Amino acid sequence: MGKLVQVATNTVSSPTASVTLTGIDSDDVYMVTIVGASPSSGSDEIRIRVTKDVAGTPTPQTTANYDWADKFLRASAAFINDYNTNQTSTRGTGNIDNALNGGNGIFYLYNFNNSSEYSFITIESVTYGFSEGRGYQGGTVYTVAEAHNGVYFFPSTGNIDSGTFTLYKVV
Amino acid sequence: MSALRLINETEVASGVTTVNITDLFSADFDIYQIEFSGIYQSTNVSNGIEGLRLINASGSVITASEYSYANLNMPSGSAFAENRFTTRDFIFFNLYADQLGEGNANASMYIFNPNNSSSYTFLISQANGQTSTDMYAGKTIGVHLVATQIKGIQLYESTALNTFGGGFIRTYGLRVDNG
Repeated sequence: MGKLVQVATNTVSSPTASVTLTGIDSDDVYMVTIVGASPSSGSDEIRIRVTKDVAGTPTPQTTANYDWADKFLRASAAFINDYNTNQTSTRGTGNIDNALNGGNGIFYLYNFNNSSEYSFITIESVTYGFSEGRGYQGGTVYTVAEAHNGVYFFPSTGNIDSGTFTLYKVV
Repeated sequence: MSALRLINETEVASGVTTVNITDLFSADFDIYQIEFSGIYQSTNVSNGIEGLRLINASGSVITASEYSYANLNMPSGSAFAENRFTTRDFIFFNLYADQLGEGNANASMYIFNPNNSSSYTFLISQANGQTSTDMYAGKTIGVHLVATQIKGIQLYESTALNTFGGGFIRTYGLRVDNG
């Protein structure tokens, strides 16, 4: 089993529009965890963008270059082959009931530091929303060959009210 | 030091149908990784083990229908199956096993926020096991639908004759250090 070295963490204690974790500066695999995340309204998802260093500022990338494919597991309905291409952000967690602090996930990050390759993320998440347990199992890619230094999490609407977001390096 | 800390190693005893691991979860960690490895049956039986139950702060195994899960069961020799339950008295997470030498069950599981009494407890699992007739891979998400403090787990088999033969359950805490 590999060793995990914590790179960055952010525990949300008051509503915030987004959470950014940076510090990817090597060709190692990185892992991100989310636990206890909650949106401020309804049953929003938490979505992901990669960040790039722009004049010293980690900047979420918003071009329509995110592709994803996953199995959407649901406790009360048939599973869904969930996929899309050329989107401006990508899957993170499924819908989260905002009263339950129930957004959780494990994400592995590949090739982020390599400016000649696309950046890949594996997705495993579990939430409770719309009165059922839900989860994504799959992966996503940002199809621009450039170096990325982190990840940016944001809800589909409103703010993030709670949750701990942590970035580890796998060594 | 790695952020992943081994906090418990339990050997599955021979001849039992339940394995309780108590005092497992604490305020030290919010996420736990549990590795189920080499779990086999004591007799010649192709068995899908019922799965997981949780243990509350009083040390009692939660046997009520308070669990919800979605499982994608992927056998190597037949069609995949979707197992979906909004309420059940355990979480099936795709452990398939047989007697020693004919197959055993393995899974890697993450458990989220068990110690937090104001949150549901969540899990993600990926499993792969073998019986004398087939291999079964599986993906599972599960939720314990009560906001209460959880302190441990139970590996649960419902059929009295289907006793375990052995195996290991290792639990790691995933440390977060602030500041």
